[in-house]
Amino acid sequence: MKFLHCADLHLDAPTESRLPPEKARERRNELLSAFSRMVAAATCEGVRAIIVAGDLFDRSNITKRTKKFVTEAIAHNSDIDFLILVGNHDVNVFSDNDSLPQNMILLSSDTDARTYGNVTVSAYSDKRIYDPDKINIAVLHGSDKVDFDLSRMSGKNIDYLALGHYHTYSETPIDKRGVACYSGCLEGRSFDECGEKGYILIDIDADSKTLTHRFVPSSIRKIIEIPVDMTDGTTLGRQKELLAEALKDISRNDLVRVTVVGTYESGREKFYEHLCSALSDEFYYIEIRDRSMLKIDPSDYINDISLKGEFIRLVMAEVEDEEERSRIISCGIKALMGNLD
Amino acid sequence: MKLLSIHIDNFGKLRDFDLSLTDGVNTVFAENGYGKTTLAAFIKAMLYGLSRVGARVKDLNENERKHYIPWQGGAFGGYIDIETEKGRYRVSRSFGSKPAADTFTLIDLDTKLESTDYTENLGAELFGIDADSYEKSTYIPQRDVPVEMTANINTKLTRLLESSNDLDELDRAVKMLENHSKTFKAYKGSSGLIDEAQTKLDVTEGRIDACRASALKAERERNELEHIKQNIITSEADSKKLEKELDRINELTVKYNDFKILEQYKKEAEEAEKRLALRKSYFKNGIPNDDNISELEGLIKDITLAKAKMSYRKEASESQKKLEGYKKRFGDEPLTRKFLESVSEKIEALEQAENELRTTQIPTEPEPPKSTVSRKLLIPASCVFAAIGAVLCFVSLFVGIALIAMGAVALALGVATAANEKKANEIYQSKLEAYNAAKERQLELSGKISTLKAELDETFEKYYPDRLGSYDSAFTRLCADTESFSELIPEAQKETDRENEDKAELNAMLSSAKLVFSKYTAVYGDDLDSALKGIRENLRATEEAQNDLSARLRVAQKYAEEKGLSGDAPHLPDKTAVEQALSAKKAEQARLNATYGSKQKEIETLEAESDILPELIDEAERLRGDIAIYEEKRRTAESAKEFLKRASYNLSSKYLRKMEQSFRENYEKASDSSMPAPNIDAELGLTFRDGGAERGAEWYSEGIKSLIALCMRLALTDALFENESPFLILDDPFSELDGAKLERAKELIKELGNSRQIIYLTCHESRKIQ
Repeated sequence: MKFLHCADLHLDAPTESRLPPEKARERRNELLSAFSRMVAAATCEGVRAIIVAGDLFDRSNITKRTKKFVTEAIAHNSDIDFLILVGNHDVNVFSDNDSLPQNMILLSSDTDARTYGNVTVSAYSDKRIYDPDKINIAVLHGSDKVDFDLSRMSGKNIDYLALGHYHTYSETPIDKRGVACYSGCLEGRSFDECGEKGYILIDIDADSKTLTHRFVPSSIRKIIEIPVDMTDGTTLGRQKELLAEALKDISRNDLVRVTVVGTYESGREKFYEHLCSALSDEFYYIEIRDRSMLKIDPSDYINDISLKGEFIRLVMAEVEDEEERSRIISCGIKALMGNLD
Repeated sequence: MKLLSIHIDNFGKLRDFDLSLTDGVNTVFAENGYGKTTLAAFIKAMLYGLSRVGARVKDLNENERKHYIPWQGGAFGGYIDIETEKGRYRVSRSFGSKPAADTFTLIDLDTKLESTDYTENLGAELFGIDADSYEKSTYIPQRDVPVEMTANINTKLTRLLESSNDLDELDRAVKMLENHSKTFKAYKGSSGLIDEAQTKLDVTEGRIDACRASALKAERERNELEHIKQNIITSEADSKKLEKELDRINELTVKYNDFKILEQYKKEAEEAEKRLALRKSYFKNGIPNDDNISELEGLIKDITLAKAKMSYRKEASESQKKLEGYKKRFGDEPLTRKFLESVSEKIEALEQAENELRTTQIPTEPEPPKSTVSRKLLIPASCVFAAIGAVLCFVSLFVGIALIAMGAVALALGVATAANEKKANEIYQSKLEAYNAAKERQLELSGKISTLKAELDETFEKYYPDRLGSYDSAFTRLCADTESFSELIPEAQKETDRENEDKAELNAMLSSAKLVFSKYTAVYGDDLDSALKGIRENLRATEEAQNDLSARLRVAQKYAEEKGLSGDAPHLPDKTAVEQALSAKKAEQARLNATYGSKQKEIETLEAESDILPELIDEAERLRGDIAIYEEKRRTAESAKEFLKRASYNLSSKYLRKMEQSFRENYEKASDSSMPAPNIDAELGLTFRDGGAERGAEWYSEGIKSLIALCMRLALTDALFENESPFLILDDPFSELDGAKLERAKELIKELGNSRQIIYLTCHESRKIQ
């Protein structure tokens, strides 16, 4: 018997990136598509129930379109139970007045466990007693040590704790018997959510009473942030080469942020905007963020009785943040040299 | 710090050059082009090394290494012996084609050992300033003062401190930064990328607020919708209760109506009972039973039998029948003999008249004689001829006579004809008279016959309307019947008497029967049949009334059983009040449903409005990102600008006051009474009071300007060097001075030599300082 564990779909969420409006709209639609793709995959895998460990929606007041999309998708797949736990984002999305599909079950700590043969699925509760002879799947939304204490779940006969809240897949043993897994989200929405995203497929062998799980990457696009050391990028050609080298293995479908790091000498020309514009057709979305540092040796300016020397000494002495310091010095020197962008 | 000696192996144009130096002013007199500037550059190279610019810098002025690489080849470098507060040292440097090949050696002249008291950054360690600053302060060139004198100490200082001679560098940089900053946000007003983005963000946030407000309102409306729905459910529940109550009332009404119908049945039964009673009341002596009826029927039967007997007797009597027949034909009495004789006479008279008429010959009707025309015309014509002839005689005698003759003939003919006609008329008149007499007789006989026939027909038709025979046979039958009639009269009288006896007996029976019948009904006349019929009818009606009553009682009982009616009719609640309440509830539901529908539509509209929220949040996020970037760039530009200004201010505040004081001292020493008194304002602007007026330095001669410039350079040197008071290298600075001013300048240098080492280079004998 198979179950699918997902969480933090955040349907109807803003993209939280600086995508152009039309692509932001497309990404929001892709969030819905990701849900559909996951349901389709569950159907192919013969999944008995899809467990949503919170934050299916991004907020309480979701759009009618999204609500309808989800309920229709659920109703359309009547062979699969959708066991949905409310997260911290989507409280009160569904009211008692909503006519929910029969296979859409809202889990809560107050409701009884759902039983599938010798498997139980329930919202986690400290008070709940888990039958040691059954395979127990508990569902919870929150953060370890903040919202709950994983160590207190040890010995409770939980075989699998389906967690939601963190947007990246991870797993931690509960005890010798059980494991706690964050499925992560289905699609990254910003450059804070880089990497593979997907769901967890849980396979239970009724005979041997064993539970196995595996993470299934399923995102339509990945969000990738990649650092590129441009210290050696003294010319346009070299900068282009360094970028191309860093981006060679990245899919065209992905959203990419290149963070330029390293140092540069005063007076270096940076062609990042031009290069970013040239690369915009190569990827779904690309942006270049310059975090490179102006190469400054403070000792060079200790005895420089000049405006430039005094300026650099002042900035070095007063600005603690290295990036900011670098920006101000670079800007000031460019102004002194008369070639401020 | 002071220089003890200089040895140059090879440096620029100088080769194997040695110079020993003492405290105070060391005058080096040499021709122009001797290499004074190279010497100054060598001293700087010994202190700071050669600049580390890349080999790609081709400009010799910018690339010292290339500039001073020995023309003649050989070792590139040399040494200087110096004395500092730490001791005496020999500083040796050799220079390669690249900085990496440069060497630096520091030997303690007292111990002759290599020293680490200073490093290759010797100049900076000694003076606390870098090579450029050193060069621009300790080396005073021949023409330091530009043509357009800048009499601002600050500017002078800045100019001297900077690598570039562009006086506007700071201002330009600040302006550039300001412009850069203003592209993001204007200092005044509200233009710039930040404000533009902020305006868009404000609009977007306004829309987001509106969306959220719509969403919240939709939520509230949904709650209200739920409230309405609950009200509808409650109202519908109330309606159902009322409908149930109405159903109950309807059921009661049906029951009530059943009771009403039952009452009606009972009422009808009562009516039937009354009708029965009425029927019964008709039989005052009790309802006749079958025996009574049989008795009555027997009485009628007896009477009928008696009547039949009388009738039979009457019908069985032939004489009576015949008598009745004759009476019917002739009346109560037989015809008299006289009447019969008169009839016989009429028959005979008729036969006679008919015979006469048959036998009488009627002559043919005579033709009247024919009247000829000639007679009628001939006489008048003869008269005409005679008249015309008489007239014509007077014209033509012959003709007249002829005509008269013709007249005479005609007259003759006329007379003859008239005589014949008269005779014929007389014959005709006699025949006509005979004919008319015969005719008249015939008419008379016919009239008589008709009259007789009419009288006879009338007589016979009276007694024998169907008579077909002749008058004779009819008369014979009349005579025979009259005789028979006369013979039957006495026999009929006997039969009448017997009949009267029967009638009396019958009347007695009737009276007896009537007495019996009168117990049950009134008897009109002798019609006992009708009376019996009436009794029967009454009996039947009484029986029907009885049956009707029984049937109605059965119907009422059956109805009561079928409908389960017992006891009293139920009490009916006020159905109208319930109906009105239900109607009010229905109206309330209609109103609530209408409100529900409109709310739903409103919610749909609000939800549609709030559906663009994610898009707007994305837009706002994007704009915030833009603003953050713009803010960062602006902040960076503003920070850079402020730091540049502060750097400039720091430099000024660090050096300028010292410079001002030094300038005043040196200028006082160098000037005489003929020279204008300096005035330094708060902005360190330098002017001179001259004849009561404030004048700038540009008003004065080149000599005075040279002095002012020298004083400022000296002041700058005093201001810059905090640790070690460096030597000064003066490259023939007084070329524009002569006379007293030159002397005073020399005196100034001498005086300065008391406190510092001066290397004074000049190419003119007059400017030598002894």
